[in-house]
Amino acid sequence: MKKWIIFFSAVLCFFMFSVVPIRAESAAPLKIGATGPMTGPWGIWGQNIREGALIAAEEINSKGGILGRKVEIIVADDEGTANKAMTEMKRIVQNDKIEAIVGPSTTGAATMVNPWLSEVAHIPQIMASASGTMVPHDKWRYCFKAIYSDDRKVDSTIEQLKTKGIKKIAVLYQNDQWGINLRDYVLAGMKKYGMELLEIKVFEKAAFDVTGQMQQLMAKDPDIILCLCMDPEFATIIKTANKLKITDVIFWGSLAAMPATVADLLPAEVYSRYQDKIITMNSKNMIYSESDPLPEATKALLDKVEKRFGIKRRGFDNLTAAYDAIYLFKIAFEKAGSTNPEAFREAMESGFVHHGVLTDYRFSPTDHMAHVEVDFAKATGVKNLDIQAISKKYVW
Amino acid sequence: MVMVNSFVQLIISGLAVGCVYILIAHSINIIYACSGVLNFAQGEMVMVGALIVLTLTSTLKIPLLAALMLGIPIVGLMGAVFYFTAVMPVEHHKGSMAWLLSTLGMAIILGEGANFIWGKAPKGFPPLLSGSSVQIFGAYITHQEILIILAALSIMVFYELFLRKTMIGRAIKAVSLSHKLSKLMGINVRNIVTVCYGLGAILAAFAGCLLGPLIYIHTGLGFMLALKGFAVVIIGGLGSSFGAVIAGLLIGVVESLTAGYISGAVADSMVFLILIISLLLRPTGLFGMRILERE
Repeated sequence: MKKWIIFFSAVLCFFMFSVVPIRAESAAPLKIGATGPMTGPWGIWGQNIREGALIAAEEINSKGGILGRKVEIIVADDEGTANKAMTEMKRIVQNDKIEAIVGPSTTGAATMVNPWLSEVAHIPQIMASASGTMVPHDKWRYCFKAIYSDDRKVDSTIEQLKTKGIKKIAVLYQNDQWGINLRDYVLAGMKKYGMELLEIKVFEKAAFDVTGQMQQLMAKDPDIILCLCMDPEFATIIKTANKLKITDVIFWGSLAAMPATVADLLPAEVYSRYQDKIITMNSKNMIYSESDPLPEATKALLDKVEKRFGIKRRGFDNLTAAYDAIYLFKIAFEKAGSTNPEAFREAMESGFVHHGVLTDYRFSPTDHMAHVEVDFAKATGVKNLDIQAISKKYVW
Repeated sequence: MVMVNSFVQLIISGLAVGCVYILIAHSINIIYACSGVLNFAQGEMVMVGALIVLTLTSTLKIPLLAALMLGIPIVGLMGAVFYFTAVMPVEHHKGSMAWLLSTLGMAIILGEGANFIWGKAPKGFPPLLSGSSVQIFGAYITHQEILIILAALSIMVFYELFLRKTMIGRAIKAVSLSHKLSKLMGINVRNIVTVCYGLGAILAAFAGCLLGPLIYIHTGLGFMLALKGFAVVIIGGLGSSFGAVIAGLLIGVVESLTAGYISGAVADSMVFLILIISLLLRPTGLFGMRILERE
């Protein structure tokens, strides 16, 4: 009898010591990183990502979390630079022990960080920004994109420009990874649709003066000048266009901060002159101006952000994508039954459809980028920009 | 479409930016002349000057002109304080390069301080004149660019008159030639050097306020401006006012022509290529003097 008591006590102890840690572990928060430039000229991107992720996490936590674990968002400021992004990413992976990541937010940072995240750290990742980054599904196995990809948007946009009678294009692009990628997509799109590239010029970020480039582009007499730039560079270029009295121009960006930051950086009369010519090609939400009616889901999310953080956001593409990314993690982890990266990948590739705030998502084993047709014609900026009417009118 | 004379357009745009470089170069020169220190924080003074004026006008709602008149002297005082805190404590170390580290360190402190106070987000600087442009010689120039050119040239004229016609100006010239002889002449060298640091900061702040409306202000602005300012000073000749004017305009125009005719990606590199060629061909700069010292 004594032997049996000892035996049962041992078995009981075994279960206690083996089960209790599992329960403790499962009760531990599920840490998800949210990275991006929280400060600096591009700080608004990261802030959008942080706010979107935090709102989604709070909603999910109020309903029991993911796999019974509370979601904790670990925010890291990569200042929008690739080197800092790498340092911060390693810090939150190694020190904070994150199990998933929303980020990074710039194409340059993603190019440096993503191989390490997928191939070395094996961290499930959903990008809510860095739209210029392609995701090679066979190499970056655990990486997915909630934001639209530039190549797909560019193709659709160039096609629409062609239907509006534009044939001769000049291009000005900013000299960073995002700008170079976008330039390449634009050139490929123009070739595909038989459009003529008259001239292409480049400028450095934070350049003091782009008169030389704009003047040279104008001299070629294009139907339209595409300026592939980000805010706050938009402001410098718009000032130059205003100086040279160029009106036939599309300022083409891909930013969360648009158009708010540009409006803040320009004199009111200059902004009002050009605001309808600023288009951002990200999404149905992104191509947006003050007068645009917002989709209900977006409006509701922005109201939540205002209520929670006291901030009225006007640019929000990264915000909605980050919000959706946290829900995509929830769906995939719960389908997978764990946060294991391989199981996560299989779940994400299983073809489920998630009706997010930004768009409807569906991934596949060969497509880790949410594919949605961009309806360029619906874009307010383009609707207001009657290209044919203003064509060849450089002076007002 | 209005045809614009391409070459003239690029020259005019280059001259406007070049005038800003001239002011920064002068701010570096005056400090170097009186104290032998190349102040690596001058770029930060440009940035801080613009931000202080911006704060006065946008946050405190002071009219822009009044904000300039109030803000720029504040930066001048900061320049004087800079001398007492970063340079004076190390200047007695004869022949040492301690000033190099102390001014570099101060540049970092000013940059981080600005980040703390104003944040890193870019800020629009209100235009001093309307944003519209006029056509001159077939090229467009904004009212702001005309103002930059006129203001920079006026400041240079006043600066030269100040040095030649006023007691303090003459004292600055004397101190820049010899601290020892100046002391023998009864000049309070320390006070004059302090004035020079204040003047340097004022010129830098002017440069920031003139440049601000052309671009946008952010706390990372100072570094590249300081580099360009140093390039202008070295190409023009250390301590040479006339050299700084010529080199500033040259650099501005070369940048503009390079961006227009070659590529915007190499415009900055071209400046430093000129610097290297200038050092190889004429180490004292275009208008720098070779000074022989007797043992």
